[in-house]
Amino acid sequence: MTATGSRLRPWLFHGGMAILAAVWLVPLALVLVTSLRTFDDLAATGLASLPGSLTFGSYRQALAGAGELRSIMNSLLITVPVVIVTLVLASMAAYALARHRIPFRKTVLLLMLAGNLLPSQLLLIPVLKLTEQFGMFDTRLGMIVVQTAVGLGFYTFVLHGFMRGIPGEVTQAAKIDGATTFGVYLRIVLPLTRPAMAALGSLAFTWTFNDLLWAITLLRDEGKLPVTPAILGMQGQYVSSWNVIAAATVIAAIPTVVVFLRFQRYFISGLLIGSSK
Amino acid sequence: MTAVPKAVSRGARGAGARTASRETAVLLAFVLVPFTLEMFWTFWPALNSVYISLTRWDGISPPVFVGLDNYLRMWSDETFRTALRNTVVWLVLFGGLSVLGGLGLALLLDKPRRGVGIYRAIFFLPVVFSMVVSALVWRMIYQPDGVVNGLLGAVGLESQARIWLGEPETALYALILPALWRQIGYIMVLFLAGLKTVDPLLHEAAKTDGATAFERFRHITLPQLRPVSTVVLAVTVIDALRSFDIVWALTKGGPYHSSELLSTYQFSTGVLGSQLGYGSALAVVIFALTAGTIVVYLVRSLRTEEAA
Amino acid sequence: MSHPNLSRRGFLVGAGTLGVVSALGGCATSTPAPSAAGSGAKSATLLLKSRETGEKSRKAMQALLDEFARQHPQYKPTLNSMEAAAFQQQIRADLTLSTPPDVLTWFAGEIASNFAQQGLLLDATSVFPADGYSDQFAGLSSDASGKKIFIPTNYYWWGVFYRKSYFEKWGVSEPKTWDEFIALCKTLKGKGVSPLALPLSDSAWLTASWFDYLNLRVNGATFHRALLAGQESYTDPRVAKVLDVWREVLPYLDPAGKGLAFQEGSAKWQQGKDAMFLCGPFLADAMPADVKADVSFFQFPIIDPAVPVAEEAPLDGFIASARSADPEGAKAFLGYAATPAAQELYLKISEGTLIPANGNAKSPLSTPLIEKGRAMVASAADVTQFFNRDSNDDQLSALTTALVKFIDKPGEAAGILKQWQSDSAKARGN
Repeated sequence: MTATGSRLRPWLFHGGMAILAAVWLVPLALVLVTSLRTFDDLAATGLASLPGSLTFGSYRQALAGAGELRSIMNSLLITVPVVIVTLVLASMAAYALARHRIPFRKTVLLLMLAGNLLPSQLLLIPVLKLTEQFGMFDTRLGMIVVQTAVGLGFYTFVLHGFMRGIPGEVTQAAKIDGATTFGVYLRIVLPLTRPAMAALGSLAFTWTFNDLLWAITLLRDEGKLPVTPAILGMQGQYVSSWNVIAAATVIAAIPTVVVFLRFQRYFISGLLIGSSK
Repeated sequence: MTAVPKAVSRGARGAGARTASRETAVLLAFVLVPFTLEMFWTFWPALNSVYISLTRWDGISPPVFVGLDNYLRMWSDETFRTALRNTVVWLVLFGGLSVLGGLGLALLLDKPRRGVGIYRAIFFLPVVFSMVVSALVWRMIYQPDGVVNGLLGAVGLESQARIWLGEPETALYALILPALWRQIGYIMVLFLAGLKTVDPLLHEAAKTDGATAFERFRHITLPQLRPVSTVVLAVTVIDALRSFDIVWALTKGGPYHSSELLSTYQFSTGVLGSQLGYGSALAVVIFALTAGTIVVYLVRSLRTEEAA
Repeated sequence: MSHPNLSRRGFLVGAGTLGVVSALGGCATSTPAPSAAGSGAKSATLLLKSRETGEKSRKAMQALLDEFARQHPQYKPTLNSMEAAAFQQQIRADLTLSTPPDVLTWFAGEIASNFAQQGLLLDATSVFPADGYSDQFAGLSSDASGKKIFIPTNYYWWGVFYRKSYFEKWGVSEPKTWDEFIALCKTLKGKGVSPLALPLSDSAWLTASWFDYLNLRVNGATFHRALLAGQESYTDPRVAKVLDVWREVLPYLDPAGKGLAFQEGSAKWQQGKDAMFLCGPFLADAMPADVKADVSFFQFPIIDPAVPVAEEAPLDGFIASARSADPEGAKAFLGYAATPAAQELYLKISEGTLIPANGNAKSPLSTPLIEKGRAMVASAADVTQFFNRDSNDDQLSALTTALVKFIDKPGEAAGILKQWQSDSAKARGN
């Protein structure tokens, strides 16, 4: 497969991939078409009908209020710190647990993973009360702390999996050369886990950026709401301007797509582990 | 596993003692800071909810302690049994297909060649799109005069046209497609990152030895994917047992509970409804199922790897 | 963990026997105790939380606050809007926050009564106008002890909506009785028109409107209330009768309905592909002006003339939190919201098809449709709110499960009702 991939004739590969990609894009194309229709057209003929005419008006409408751009900014203000702090803390824990014989390391790892397995519904109300006691309720700081803490177990677990894959000789050699624990972490392990860090980083970015549950649990001020609840807020109780909502969604997807495209080169074709041989 | 600081494994002695104890402190901090932070914000609040699962509580008036009543209620709750059955079906189908699909795409798109970057981005796109609109378009696809029935008509299969999300026989299975559409790109990314640890030299060596493509996949790629496979398996079980948003957005578990999952049932009783005690009990059961499935597997896999 | 009086607010502290939270108790007291502060302060801020996120309703709400601030310069009111579903999820937590929103949009019914029973709502008796509200509306604004805990601002109604031009085209007219209604459905079906819209894909709750009305027309409002309160059983033959009557029109429901979202269903109705829609006037709110002018409705047909006529008139308005830091300010706003001027101002800007709740207020954008709705509700012997407003969302979920199944399998009524009763009782906790 990996190997056959390289032997597949280009036309076969591209033909197959193009068809699959096209299927993948159908729903997204429907979003785009919806975003280019007018409300009256949608309301009169329904979503599934052929569009009467196409216009960029919905995009103008979506951007007109302060809401959309403000909510994207809010999402970024929460997401960027969460992704950075999460990756730093999780990679530290994963490194220590994967590369050192710390007592109870398996228990600690499993406990951290188990913490992540707790359904968020079990946490919502008590966490709300905790943030209130810390004075972090309805603040971005509260969102950052909670989302970081709640996700740590998962990221630690995934990075642990990747770090175990690093050949022992690599870190051992550095140790013999006198590197400290921190030095090995910083200069050997982190660069080698870059593909995993990049992959996790783009996933973490996506999830945090699009979060709904924690936002509506911990935030109240509509000026602080991130994108998903803000877009939901564009829905009417009975009738919604789906064209504007679709446009707003397309706009809100841009940051995550940019992050993915920036990060993917690290986990796609960069330096290969073991290529030092 | 070979990089063992002496400080941890045997305790420090002699001239290196100070360095060693500092090393120990660094390591402890590496583990304890994230560990404590997470435990404080997960297990500690969850304890309160576990207590709530032993009460009857509407979220407003004082909770009434009822012991294990909520857990006993599940036995006689037909909806719970449906949801449990559906969750197992979901785990097998959604979980299995997303792993196969993600692995397949990752293998095909791993090698640098013209255009792979675009394909990877396309398959990842559904992951980044907000659920609000994804649900909308999937409803368009499935509605009575929507895309699916249109296609069936175009190839002369009008008789197969159905109201996919509105019929109890098809609703659950119809939901799996949009769920896969959103999940496969994510699994692909994890496998792509994992494939980076596969040594291409091994493949070259095997090729010179005359191994077929399948043999090389079986004996080189797969074993080296083992660490990431553990991760993917855990991720898949977690996501399958927690799948919620697409189901909620499209059918809310209906028609008449036919596409109910434990997660949606939990939400409609404990979050939307006012049975917070029962809802908490359901969440505890979801946790027990997820943790049970994963931890049993992990304990075994961690042990075998350590032995190896 | 065995605190006998564990409230939602207190349970974390109660569970603090485990240490951590009580150790953090110092932080917890940083928020002011309810009603201890603020009442004397100059230009106190007042937070209104609204679930109206539509552009016009939002503007109308802001206008209401601006006008209130103009009349009461000592208050600085701010508006915070939250999408309705999130609002609903947040309300219980909101009312128990140490610094809650002062005033919130809400609706009359069972849930508000429960809030009041737990002492979460501010007593607004002192600002409730003595004159202007009907006895029914005043009753719906009171808690069990007669205190006013809700200020109604507007209501709407339910009816069978149709487009006049299409009825003309098909040569049919409004039915009055159930038999005429069945005959009309038959005629329309004969002309190749699907008689009844009932989109269920994202709005299975619409089945509740059919149940409410059939039950009100067959068994009356008293039985309906007792049933919703759990004092009567769904296995009662009177409920079976309701399904028997409904079964007569099931063949006239648009079979595509179970796969259509509300918006798709309303588009189909707008195009005349479905002739009639049991709905509220919000059905046509977003439609073009020429369609709106073409919309009419008729009263849900009379089934048993001996049963006093009841109508659904869901009543919206405001509540205030008992923990408001500024109860005087919150009450001042509630008092203002009860005035005819405030209700007219809101409806003028929001442009919704709603009727002001204060009888002394006029509809600023009066149309024949609105006047017909107002007259129908005014002539009713009794009013109900809507199934889930008169009970709660757990009961609604038991209802939709039962009724969507009934539409699919009308032959299994007995089993469905048995299951419904069991679901309903379990959700009540007995």
